[in-house]
Amino acid sequence: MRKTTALILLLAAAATASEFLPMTPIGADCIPVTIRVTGDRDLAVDAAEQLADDIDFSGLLMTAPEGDGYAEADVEVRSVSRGVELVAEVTSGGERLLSRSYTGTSIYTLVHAFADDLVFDLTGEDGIASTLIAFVSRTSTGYALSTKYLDPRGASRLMFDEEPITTPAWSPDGGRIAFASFQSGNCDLWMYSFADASARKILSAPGLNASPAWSPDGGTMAVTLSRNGNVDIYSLDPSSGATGRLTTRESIETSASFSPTGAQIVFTSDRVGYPQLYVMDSSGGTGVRATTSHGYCDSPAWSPDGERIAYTAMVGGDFHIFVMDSDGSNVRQVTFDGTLNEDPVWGPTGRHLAFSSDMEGGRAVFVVELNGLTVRRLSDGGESYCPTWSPLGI
Amino acid sequence: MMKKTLAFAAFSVLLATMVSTSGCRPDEVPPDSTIVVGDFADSTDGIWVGDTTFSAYDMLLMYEQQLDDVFFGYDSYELDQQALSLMLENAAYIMATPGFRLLIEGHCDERGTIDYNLALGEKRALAVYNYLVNYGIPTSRLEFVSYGKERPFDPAHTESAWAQNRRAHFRALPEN
Repeated sequence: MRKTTALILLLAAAATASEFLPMTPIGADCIPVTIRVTGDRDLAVDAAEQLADDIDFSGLLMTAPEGDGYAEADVEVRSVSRGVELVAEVTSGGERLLSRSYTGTSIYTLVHAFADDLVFDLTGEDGIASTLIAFVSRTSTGYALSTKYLDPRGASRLMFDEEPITTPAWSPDGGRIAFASFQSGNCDLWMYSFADASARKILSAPGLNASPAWSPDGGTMAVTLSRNGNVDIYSLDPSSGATGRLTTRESIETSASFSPTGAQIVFTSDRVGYPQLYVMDSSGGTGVRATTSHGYCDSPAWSPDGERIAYTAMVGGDFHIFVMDSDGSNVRQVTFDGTLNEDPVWGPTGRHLAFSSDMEGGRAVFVVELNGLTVRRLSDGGESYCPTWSPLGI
Repeated sequence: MMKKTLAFAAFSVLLATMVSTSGCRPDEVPPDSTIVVGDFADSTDGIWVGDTTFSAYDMLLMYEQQLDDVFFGYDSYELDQQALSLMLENAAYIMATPGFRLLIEGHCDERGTIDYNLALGEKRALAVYNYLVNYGIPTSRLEFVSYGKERPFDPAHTESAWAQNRRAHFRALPEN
């Protein structure tokens, strides 16, 4: 043990000495859009603010002053008998690009829908304004699993318990969230279903049943179990409950994340005496080491385009978010403030990351848009962590 | 234990007093009758009823208090010399004291990630579990669970809190 400690200290020292290159904004040109929002006063104020937020956080469009926009969006909002209505007309150089009206109960939902349509119509890319993020909150009374839109609306609680809830993972079809809960005394795997508004225990092997990851097609999961007296990654068929062991070493193997093709899994192993990232076939194996620059790495997340892996690493005693190319090269540091930044997850289009951080005190969930490196705080108050991003089209 | 017994005895006396002085509620007493206040009965020596007045829960708490938590180094699940000597005492007590099962909880400090700490806590609990099995405690008396860093004993963000939170903690469970 003494040797391991010394090694970790040595690596930590080395990490402190060598500065990591900061993540740089991708800096791709964003299409400038001028927005004009009119209508019922309070609604218009909220809609204008949110629309500007959505556009500037898309990483594809940017708000522009009057006269500087490639496109002009005229938006009118008003209260109607069944809720609110948003009518939008987008023109470019006098030519009409898009004319659409939206109705619903929340002005924010309508603004997000329009913002995503605007992104798609101007760039051909999907927007993420309508997506949600689920996370865990810890209060003095217990633990909650909640979802939240990327707007001022409060979080909506899905599950609450006095016992810890942790490691949630949103299913690729959007309908379920797998998570670990100590509700029955053991760390079991549960599945929340939005359709049933309830959670069902799906795996309760002796020991750990935690850290679920979905294969991109949703057909399989990778989970961390310790039923053979060691902490290993297993495959799990979420419909039948059938499991298969993927790693067999004496060391800890955990925190799986699938590549977007589903062919590979990046995971954490402490086989060299401290946690590092490895990549293996999703059918199992020993894996190839992917990180060498840090002393302590965990929580890898493979980007939706397969090009990059985000993870947490210890640098000079603090934990920060890093992104590297999936071959382990081009390591970039994303966070610099706070002492505990962890659990990065990619947005569904690969242009954003969500993570938890104590950079503003407490622990809260933050989102960052990678083109301009715009950081926003998602959750307010209490301790929030373990974000998981919904798929598109939820 | 002594203090609790005394408190219980005092409570019993109080209860006895109340019963003897107010045998019926005031509104049940006919208007013109006199309320008879009985003398406090002559006491004889009380009977020693032993531990049976303890609830099972109290007994479990008492077992727990005899078991020392075992602490670990950062990112370590190895029992060091101090942990081994504590475990020797713990194991001897468990072996000599039937009547409860043991839940071993593995805990971690917050300096680390959720996924890895769940695994690390499991390894810590397992290290203690394996020690007890090797000592000769039947596995039917043992259970373990990892809480990772999800349920810290000391939620502060200090060196001493972190040291407190890197532990295996024992909870006595009722027999099956």
